[in-house]
Amino acid sequence: MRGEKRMVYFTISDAVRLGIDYIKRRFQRTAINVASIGLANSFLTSLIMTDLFYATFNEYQGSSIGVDAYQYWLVAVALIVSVVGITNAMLISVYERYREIGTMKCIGALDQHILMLFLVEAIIQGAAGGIIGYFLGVVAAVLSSGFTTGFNIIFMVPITELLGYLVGTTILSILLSIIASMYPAWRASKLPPVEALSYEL
Amino acid sequence: MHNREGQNKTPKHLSPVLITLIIATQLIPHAHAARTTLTGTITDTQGNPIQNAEITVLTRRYIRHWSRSWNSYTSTTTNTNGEYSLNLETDSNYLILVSHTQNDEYDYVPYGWFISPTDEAYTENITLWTTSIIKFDGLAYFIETTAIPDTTFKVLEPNSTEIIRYGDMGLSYGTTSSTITLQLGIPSNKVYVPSNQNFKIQLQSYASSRGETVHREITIQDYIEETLEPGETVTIDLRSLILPESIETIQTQTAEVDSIIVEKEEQGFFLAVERHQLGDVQQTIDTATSLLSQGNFEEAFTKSREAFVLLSDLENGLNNLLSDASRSVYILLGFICATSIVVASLLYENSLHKALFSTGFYTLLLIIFYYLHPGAQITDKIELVKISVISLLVVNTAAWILPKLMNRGSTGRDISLTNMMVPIFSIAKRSLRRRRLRFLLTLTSVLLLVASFISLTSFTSGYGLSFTKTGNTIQKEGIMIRTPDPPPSRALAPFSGGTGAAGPLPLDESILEWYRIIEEVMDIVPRYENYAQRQYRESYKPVAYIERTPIFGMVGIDPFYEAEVNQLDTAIIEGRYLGDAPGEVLISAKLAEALQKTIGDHLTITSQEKTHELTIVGILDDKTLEDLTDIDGYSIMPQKIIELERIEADGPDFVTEGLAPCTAEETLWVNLETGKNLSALWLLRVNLVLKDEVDILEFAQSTALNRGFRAWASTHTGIYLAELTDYFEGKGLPIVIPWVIVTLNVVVTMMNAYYERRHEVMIYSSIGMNPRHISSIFLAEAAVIGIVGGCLGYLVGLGAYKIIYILTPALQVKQKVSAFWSLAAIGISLMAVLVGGLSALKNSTSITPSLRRRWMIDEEQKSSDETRIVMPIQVYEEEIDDYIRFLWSKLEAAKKSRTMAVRIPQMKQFDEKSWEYTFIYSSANPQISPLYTRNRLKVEKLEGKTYTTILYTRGDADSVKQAGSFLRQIGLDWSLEREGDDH
Repeated sequence: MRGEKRMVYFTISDAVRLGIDYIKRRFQRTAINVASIGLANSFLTSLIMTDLFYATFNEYQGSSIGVDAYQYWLVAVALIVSVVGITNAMLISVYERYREIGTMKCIGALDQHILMLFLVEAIIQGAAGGIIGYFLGVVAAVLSSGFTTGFNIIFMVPITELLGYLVGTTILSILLSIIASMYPAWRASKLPPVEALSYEL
Repeated sequence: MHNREGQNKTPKHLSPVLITLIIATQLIPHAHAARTTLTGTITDTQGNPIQNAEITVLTRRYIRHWSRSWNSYTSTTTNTNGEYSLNLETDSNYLILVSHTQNDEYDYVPYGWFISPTDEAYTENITLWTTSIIKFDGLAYFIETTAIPDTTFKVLEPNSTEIIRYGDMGLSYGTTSSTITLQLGIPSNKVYVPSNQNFKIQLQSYASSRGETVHREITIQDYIEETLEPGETVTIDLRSLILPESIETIQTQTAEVDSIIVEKEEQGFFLAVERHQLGDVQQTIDTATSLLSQGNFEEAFTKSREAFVLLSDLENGLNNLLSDASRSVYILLGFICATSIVVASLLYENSLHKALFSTGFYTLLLIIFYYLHPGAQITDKIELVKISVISLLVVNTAAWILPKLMNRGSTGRDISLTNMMVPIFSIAKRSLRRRRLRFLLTLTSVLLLVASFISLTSFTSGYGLSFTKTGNTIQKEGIMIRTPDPPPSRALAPFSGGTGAAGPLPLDESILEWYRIIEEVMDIVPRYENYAQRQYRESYKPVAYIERTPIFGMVGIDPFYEAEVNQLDTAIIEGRYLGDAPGEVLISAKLAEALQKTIGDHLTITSQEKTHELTIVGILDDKTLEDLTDIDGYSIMPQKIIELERIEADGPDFVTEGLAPCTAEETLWVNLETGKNLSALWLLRVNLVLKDEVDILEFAQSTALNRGFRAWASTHTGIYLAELTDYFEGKGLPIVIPWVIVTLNVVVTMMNAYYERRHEVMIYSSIGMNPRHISSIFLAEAAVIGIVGGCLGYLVGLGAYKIIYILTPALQVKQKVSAFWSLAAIGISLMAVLVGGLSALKNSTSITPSLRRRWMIDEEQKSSDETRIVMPIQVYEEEIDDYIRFLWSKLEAAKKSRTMAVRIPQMKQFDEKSWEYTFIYSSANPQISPLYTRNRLKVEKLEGKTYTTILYTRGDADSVKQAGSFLRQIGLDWSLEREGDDH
């Protein structure tokens, strides 16, 4: 070690590994987080899809049916509430890992490493919630609009459009999850190591 | 069965009802009365004698009343010279009617006079006026009611309100008993007026239902100036007269409702939904008006009736608004007050600061409340201030005094929950303050949830037309009509306090007549059935008996149409289907077997103390018959009342009744002719087959709307039921999703509280708090979030939807100002928080370590094979009996355990002060686990006041530990039980 440049390596793969580790350890809580963002996303997707199905149906049948506008307000509420919920859960997760963070900082982890750790967790949660929510939402939309439009309506919608919405809503979920984790992660990264180590839970 | 034929449409003869009543005149004593004669000549206005004029003599006891109770006495016709002669009794009252018909139609205005002859001979020479006919088409139904109105047409002098009379008989026609229509035996919509003479017609219509009377009077003035030729027939559609007035009435009412809305909006109510509904009503009225101008009376009527139902419902809702809103003010004041004090005590320790802050915060909330809640603005301002000051003082005082009252001094041995209330709340408060960021976040999400519940969901209830799909299978397209379900007052089970059932009420016979007039209807299929009869222990009452065999259902059908609609003929397995001849009956194969009768045999039926002779013409297959369905998708069998559930009671049992179809074995099928003679039968359902081009669904809806019936429509897409009923409409139900998310959020928070606060909880339990106290801390925290979130959320929501409405006017939310909704808002927030908190409750008990989890066997106490374990339970003298019983019950209960079970428990009492239990505590299934202990449990009073409990147990180390844990758990249960007994 003499003369060598001493440096701590903390790559993204490390962050992912640690993140997954932690998710495994607190699986129940992560599951609930994913469920809450998934629910909000499935609500959003089901509305968008129902609208899409109705639009397609209207094109074929010349009718004019649509989704009530107030539902989108409820979607907004659901999304906000899930963001607040995730922030809350992430804050707890920061408190719980005070010592861990302290230890990591003591062995040379930088602020951005800690930040990355939390963001990776947020991205995993957001992606999982987004994808699960999307499929749930599509199923819900087919079930709810199928009685009026016929269940084969889903095959009339171009597949690219469906995939586009999958990508879109998943990105939205990830974004929301990141926004929700921003403050907790920032707070964790700014922890002074000494204080963190002496923190009595 | 009454008046099944309706009225005879040809006026050639007097009403058949009257002819049948001739028999009744025999009852009037006249055999020895003196007689006199009445003679005269009948001429027309030119003085020519009228040949073959009919003179009908009616009689009754009281004179000068036009009434149904006139009985036919005799009749005669004039000779070629127009002369007539009648022989009458003296001291009787007669009505003499003179009429003349040509080609089955009156050609002179009927003439009539009253006479009460004495001994002298009478001569009456009469001049008859030629007549013209005004026929009124359609029916004078009202949009205000579903009842069928009585209508009279009075022919009046052109310039006065005097009725035109011929003799003593005023020209008044129609359906009421005071008209001459019935005496003349003419249809109720025909009016004979004098030709070549001026007159006007006054139309009066009454209908009453549910204590409300609707009355309308219209005068037709067309004939004040012009006259009608003899024999001329004019047709006037009644609806063209009545509808414009009806529409005008609704329009006036619409204007009234509009002004009510304006007035309420000035008071601060937010009536977007109501405005929208009023717009709908206006649109419906416009449609009705344009339909009327096109001469489409039927649809115009349906539309205006629809508008009326909507409007009345709207008006009702508006009238209740005020009282709902002002009542909720008081409840809300309480909540606002509680919220401000909770917030104050969260923020400050010092009681002066607390009081100051809570007053300030309360005032702020009150001001917001005043501007947002219309109920506050309509309440008297001085009173509002008074009440708010009083409620602040009361709640403040309560918050100050209650904690002092609760600290009732300790009894020294354990701590009751009431004593713990104050510490629990202060711990909860401290915990919330310590984790204020998370607390605020949770509060925000709860607040958002409640606010969006208030501002984004809309629930409306009312009375109107409901149209629902009830089934898929259909046999034949058509409509089935029944009366609405009977009013609840009939629904009490006899001989018991239970819930009763009753079948539908009979339909009015006149609707058959009404449907005969309606163009869209092709076939009318009436079904006469008996009322549903009870068939269980104390209420066994068949409608009829055949010898000893009970019959619960008798059905009178129109054989031809019934076969068309319901395929009843397919069930015949022997003999033939019903014909039209009276006295024919169909019975099921099983019934035939039970009676040992076959085709051609006679049946003697006893029903309502009368006997009837019927001949069996056909045998029906039981199964096929029971499987046949009517247009409503249910069985064609008549209904009976059976027992669904019985609760034994000291007096009569409580019986819950229900309706069920009769079995084939209990029913008889006869045709209409036969049914007429069976007095137990009523018109309970009518099936209609409509013409091909008619929209069945629309017809069912207008039937339900206009007539108030329940109408089932069977079409190729399924079976639908249309009825006028209370409805409930909820918008924004996806609010459940944010609700679930908030609940999940609380679950996460509480789950972490479990990890984060385990030390804290352990400390609490080690200073003597039991699991109940600890879970109360979590509940207290949840309650604080729930109340504050609910109250603030409600206020935010009240403000929010006005803003949202400005942004998206399409979003119409019914304002939630009634007390119910304010409670619902707080309920929703509490529910979200408490459901989430339940997980914490479970955790908080499982981490209580002191009694169960962390204990060690004292090595010193371990002798060679028996381990002595002192249980950490102290029992006082006064509790000992309970304790001994409690231990025994626990040991007994553990015998049934599937994992570790107690076997052969025994109890001995040595003296007043010591008891010993012996038992084996071992694995319930030795193949799975080898744990096995033999135990002695001693309860003794050694010294001092308390009893000690000591367990002596033999077995290997693991087994001993298990047995010790088992008893410690019992000890923990005891401490909880004792706690519960304190109160």
